[in-house]
Amino acid sequence: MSVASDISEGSDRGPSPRAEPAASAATLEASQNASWGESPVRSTSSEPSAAGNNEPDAHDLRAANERLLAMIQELHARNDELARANSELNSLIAATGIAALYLDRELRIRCCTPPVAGILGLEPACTGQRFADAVPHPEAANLVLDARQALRARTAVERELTGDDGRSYRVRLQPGRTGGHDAEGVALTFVETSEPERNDRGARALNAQLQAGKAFADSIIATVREPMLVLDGDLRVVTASRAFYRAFKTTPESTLQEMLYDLDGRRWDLPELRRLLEEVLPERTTIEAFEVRYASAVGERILLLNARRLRQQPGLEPLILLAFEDVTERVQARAALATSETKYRALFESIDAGFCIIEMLYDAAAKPADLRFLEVNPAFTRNNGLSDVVGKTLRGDLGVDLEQSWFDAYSSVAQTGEPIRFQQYSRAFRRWFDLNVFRVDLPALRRVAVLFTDITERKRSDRAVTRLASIVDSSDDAIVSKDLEGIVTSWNNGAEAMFGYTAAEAIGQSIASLIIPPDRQDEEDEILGRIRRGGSVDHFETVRRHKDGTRLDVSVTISPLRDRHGRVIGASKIARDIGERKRHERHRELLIQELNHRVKNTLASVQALAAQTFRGSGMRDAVANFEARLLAMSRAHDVLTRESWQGAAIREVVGDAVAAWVGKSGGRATVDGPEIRLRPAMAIALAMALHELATNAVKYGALSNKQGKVNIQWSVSDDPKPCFRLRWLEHGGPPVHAPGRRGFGSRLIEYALARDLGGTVELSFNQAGVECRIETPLEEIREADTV
Amino acid sequence: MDDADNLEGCRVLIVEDDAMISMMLQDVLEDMGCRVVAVASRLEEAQRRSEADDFDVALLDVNLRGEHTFPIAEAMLQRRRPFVLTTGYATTILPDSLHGATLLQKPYRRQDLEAALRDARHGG
Repeated sequence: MSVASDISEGSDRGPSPRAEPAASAATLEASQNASWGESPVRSTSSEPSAAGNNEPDAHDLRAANERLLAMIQELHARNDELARANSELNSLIAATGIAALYLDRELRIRCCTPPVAGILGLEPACTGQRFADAVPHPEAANLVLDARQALRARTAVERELTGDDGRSYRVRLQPGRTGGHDAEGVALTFVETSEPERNDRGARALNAQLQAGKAFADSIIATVREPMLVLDGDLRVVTASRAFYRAFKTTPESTLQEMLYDLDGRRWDLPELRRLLEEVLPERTTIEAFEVRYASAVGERILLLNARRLRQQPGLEPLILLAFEDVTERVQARAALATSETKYRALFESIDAGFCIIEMLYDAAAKPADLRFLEVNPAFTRNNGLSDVVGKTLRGDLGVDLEQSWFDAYSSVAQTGEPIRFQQYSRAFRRWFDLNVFRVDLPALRRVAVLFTDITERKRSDRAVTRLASIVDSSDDAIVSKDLEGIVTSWNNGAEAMFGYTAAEAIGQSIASLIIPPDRQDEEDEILGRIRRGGSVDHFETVRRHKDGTRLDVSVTISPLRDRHGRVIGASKIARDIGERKRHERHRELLIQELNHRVKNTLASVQALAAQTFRGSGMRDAVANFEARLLAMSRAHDVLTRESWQGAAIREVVGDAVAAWVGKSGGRATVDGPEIRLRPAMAIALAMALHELATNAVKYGALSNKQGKVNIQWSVSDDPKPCFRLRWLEHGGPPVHAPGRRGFGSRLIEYALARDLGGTVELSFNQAGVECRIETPLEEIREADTV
Repeated sequence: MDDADNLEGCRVLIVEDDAMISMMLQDVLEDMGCRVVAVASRLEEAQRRSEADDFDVALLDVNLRGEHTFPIAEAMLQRRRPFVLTTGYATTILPDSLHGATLLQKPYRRQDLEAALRDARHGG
């Protein structure tokens, strides 16, 4: 302090410290005249003008000259002394390395010592420049202010700054004065503050700053929602946010001062994270949105890591801020959304129901007039038959004049947002639809989605089921179902009427215990067995039991009931009361028997009558012929009776007719032809004709000797209508002589048979044997209801 | 009488409601050498006659004016009395108890009658 002040005081009086000690006197004088020589110069200049005006004498001149010389000598001596002092001062200043700078009143640099250049970054040739312009140091502006303050207040001002050399200095700005006059300038002296003092003060300031910063940072970290860590250069945790502890279910004790990689069972020890923190971060200062899948105690979380290297004071360790953003829910939600979108897309693509999004179109009167298809699924076409509709309007483009009520319904959904579901028939589509209509998108867009199914088939089958159900209900047949154990599961009105049990009484009971008579229980077991094997029972006539014990004649048809998979789960049984039919059958049988009885008795009476009539008349042969014909007719009736007059099998008719004669001749007749069921009248006509042929053969033809044979063959051919042909051919008999006159037998064959049959009969008395050909349309002789 | 094949002198009971037929039968049977002991045309009469033992074989019409004579036949079967059933009905009408009985379907030939009578006497 004292040194600096001395210098500054010395500077007041002396030349610039930078002046060369070897400067010439003239230079020094000039320099003195410029700065300090005002008074002597003034006195010098005034004296010659006074002398000139007063005209001094020689003595005075000499005396004045001597005085002048003495003054010059004294001045020289002083100058020498001053130069010496100046030189000494300069070498002293250079030796002490004092940093000092002198500014004039205008704050121009008058002079400065070399160390100042290192502190303020001054150029060597700065003298005369304005301080503010010449000094690049950041504190220059403040120093200017300080200098002005010092000049104004005429007191020293102090400031601390850090020099460009990195050291701390106290700068004292001292206004320079010349004996009670105004300050002539400002001297700046730079004194490096001592090491302990600097450290102490620096540390205090820094500490305060750090504390404030840390508190600020901590409060930020504490309040953010995201888990956050602050790591030091070794990646040890310096600070962790509360959210971090919460999110990872951990505590400060197990977190702070731990290596990041050691946290939570080394879950963060991920090669990629290591690379980012240790290699990338030092270069880039930030890492953003690094995705980590973290299998924590609370399940897998998806985290985005943001890391940032924090700027620190030089010399201090770098810090790293690590922020975690848990995006699990977001990622899951997005994935779920994508999945559900995909799922719904797939659903709409694959469902059987038609789906479309439509836009309602309105006419000028705001009445819904048409609709436009915006989107449809593949099943759309299947359900309504329309294809290639997207972007088109239903009425306008596609020309489908859907009934107005549909537009009204859709429009109401579009306007109210109330979804509707309905089933309706559309004449335009000629289909039944089941529809779900709901609004989509913004109400103003008037868009609705329609999920619809063509239920025409279902309606049809529903109707069929309803019809079937009503048939079942109204049927006189008992229609019941039972499971595979024989337990009744349904019981219709017919069953109630037939068996006397109400549905309530019957359902749940064993069918065997209800309606199967004890002697028919085996039958039920057999039926159930067959049903279980998938078989059925068709029109099986049996006996069932009424509730009152009466036995009922029934015809049952039983079919297996199957589930959707085709498994037999029970049986449906239709029982028809055939008691009435049975009685009818018995009655008819009785009538036929009675008829037969009467016919036969009548024939017997006629036989007796003839016998009585011709008794003793000598017409025995005639009576015998008559009797034979009568018996032939009777035999034909027998065949019919056996078949209950439902027609007669041709083989039986032919067989019976010839058996009476040929049977005894031991295989001498061959009978061959397809079975045909003959009408009763035809059967009798044919039998009578065959009787005549056989009688003739026995009397005169092939059967009259012991070798002859008869061959009876018939066939059916299509030419073009089915035609029946029968041939009677005798051979091996004695030579045939054609009878001179056609007897009754011939006429019966040729005339009566031909008429009865509606065909042709050709009787030939060939010498080799009698031949008879019968030909008639099959339909003439065949019983109508047979094949 | 013991010779079954010989119908000479065979005593026959005729149960028949048709007069014409019973007349013819009498003629035919007598031609065969049989002797007709009685002709019954009513059920009670037939019943009564059938219980007598003055005949060797009975010709029994199954239907007498709409009434079956099966009970008579069954009774005779019980007593091992020979009989021939005559009927205009089909054979199927016979009750089980009379299966195996000799049956003549009307109308029949004389030789059929003879065979039936012999048959019945054998069986009886």
